[in-house]
Amino acid sequence: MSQPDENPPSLLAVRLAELEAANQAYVRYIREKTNQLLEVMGTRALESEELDEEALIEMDPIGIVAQSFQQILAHLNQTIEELQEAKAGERELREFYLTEKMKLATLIESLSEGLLVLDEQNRVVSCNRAADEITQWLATDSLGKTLEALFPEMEAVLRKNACDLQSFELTFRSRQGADRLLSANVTRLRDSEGRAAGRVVTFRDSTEEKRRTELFHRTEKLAAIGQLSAGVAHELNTPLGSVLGYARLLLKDKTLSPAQRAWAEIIAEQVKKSSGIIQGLLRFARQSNPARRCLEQCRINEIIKLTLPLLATEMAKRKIELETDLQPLPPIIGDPRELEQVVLNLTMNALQAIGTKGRVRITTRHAGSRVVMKVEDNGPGIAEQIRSRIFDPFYTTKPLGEGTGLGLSICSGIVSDLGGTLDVTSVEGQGATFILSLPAATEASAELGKSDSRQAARRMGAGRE
Amino acid sequence: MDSREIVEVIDLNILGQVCPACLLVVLKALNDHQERLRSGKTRLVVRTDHRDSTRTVPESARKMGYEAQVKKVDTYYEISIGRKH
Repeated sequence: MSQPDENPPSLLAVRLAELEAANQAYVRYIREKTNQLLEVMGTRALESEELDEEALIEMDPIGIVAQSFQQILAHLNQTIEELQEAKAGERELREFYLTEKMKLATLIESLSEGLLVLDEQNRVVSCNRAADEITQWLATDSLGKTLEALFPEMEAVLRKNACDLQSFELTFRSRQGADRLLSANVTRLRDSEGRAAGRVVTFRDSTEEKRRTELFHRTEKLAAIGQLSAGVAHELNTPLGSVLGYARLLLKDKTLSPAQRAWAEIIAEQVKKSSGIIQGLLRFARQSNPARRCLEQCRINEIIKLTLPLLATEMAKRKIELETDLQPLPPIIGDPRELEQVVLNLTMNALQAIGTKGRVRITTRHAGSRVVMKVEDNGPGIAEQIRSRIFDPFYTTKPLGEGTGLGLSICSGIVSDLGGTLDVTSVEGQGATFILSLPAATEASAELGKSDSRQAARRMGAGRE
Repeated sequence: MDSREIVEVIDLNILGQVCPACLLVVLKALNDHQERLRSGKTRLVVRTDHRDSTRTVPESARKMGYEAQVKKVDTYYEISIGRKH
C-alpha cells in the first residue's frame, strides 16, 4: 500500500492558488489595458498605490473609459452631422450669393447708364458696357486706370466735394474728339462695417437731351413771339389800311397844293413801308405761309445747285471760295421755295461771318433715314456764350440796319415744320458748321406730301376767289 | 452661462485623490449621469485639489462634448461640467 505524500496540498489550496494567480493576471490585464486607455485619453498611467487591486476591480476602469469613448464617439458623430449640415447650409448660401451676384451683374450690364466702381484711390475696378459705349473706351482700357486719367473734370469736382453728388454736368471729349455732355451721380461706397471703400459713379450722355431741350425752348420762344407778332400785325393792318386809303383819297384831290401833295405821298409811302414790315412779321409768324406752302418731293442737291448761282457775284466780290461735295440723296418732302430760302440763308450767313477771303463748304450725306446738309465756313466761329441765342428771333450780331435777326429763326421754323433739325457746332476762331437734317421721303410721306400739296393748292384757289 | 437654467447640481468631491484615479471617478460620474447632463438641466461640479485634474478632467469632458469651466476656490479647484451651449 502506498503511503500518501507528506503535507499533500489540499485540492482547495491548489484551487485557491490557481484562482489567486488568475486574479493577479486579471488585475495585471486590467491595469495594463486601463493604462493604455488612459494614455489615449491623454493622461499618465495609474500608479500601483493609486488604486489597489480590490479598488481597481471594483471600479471597472476599462468599462468607464470604454463608456467615455462611446460618448466621445457620439459627440464626434454629432459634430460630423453638424458640420455636414453647416456645409449644406453654406452651399445653399453660396448658391444664393452666386445667383444674387449674377442678377446684379446682369442688372449692371443691362443699365443704359454708364457705371464705374472706383476703389479708395479712385481707380476703376469695374466698368459696365454702357460706360464703354458712352465714353468709347475699350473695357480693358479703363480698368485699373485712375479717374483723373479718364475723367479729369470729374476728378476735379470730386476733389472739391467729399460728399455724394447728384446730377452734376461735365463735358467729355470722346476718342473721336467730339465734346459730349454727361450728367453724373457719385455715391460713396461703404463696406459691411461702414468704412469708406470707394465710389460708384453713374453717368449718362445728356448731349442729345440738352439739344432737344434747347430746341424745345427755341420753338417755344418762336411760337410766343410769332403769336405776339401776328396779333400786333393784325391790329396794325386795319388802321394802316385806313391811313393808306385816306392818303390815296387825298392824292386824288385836285385842289391840293404841291406841298400838301408831297406830304400825302410821304404818308402813303411810309404806310407802305410799315405794311412791308408787317408782312415780314407775318411771314416770320408764318401766319400767311401754311396756305402758300406747297409740299412736294424735293431733291436737296438740286435746290443747292439752283440757289448757289444767286450768290456767285457776292462770293466773287468777297473773294470767298465755295466747295461742294454733294452725295446722291433720296428725295425729301418740303416746299422747294422754303428750302431755297434755308439754303440761301445759311450760305449768306456763312459769307457774312467770313467777311472777305475764306472758304465755304457745302456737303450733303444720306444718314440712315435722314438727309443731312452741312454748311461749313472758316470764319471767326460763334462764341460759346451766344451759341444758344443765335436761333432767337431778332437776335443778331450784325451792325444796326444790316440784319434783322430773323433769318436763322425763320430757317429753324421751316426745318422744324418739316420734321427736321437745325444745329450748329463751332470752335471759336475756327469757323462754324450748320447741320441741317431732314427726314428722307418714304412712300407714305410722299403720298402725304402730295395730299398736303393738293390741299394747299385748293386753299390758294379759295383765297383767290 | 445663465444659472437660472440649472435646476440640479451633482457635487463630486474627490479632494485628496490624485490623477488619473480622479479622472476615472469623474468619467464614471459623467457616464452615470450622461442623459441628465446632456439635457442641460444638470451640472456636475467636481472639487479637487490635484492640479493635474484641472487639465485632464476638462480636456476629457470637452472631448465627450461637454462644456467645462475651472475655478479656483480657496484651497481647491472647482470644475463645473455641463451641456455645451
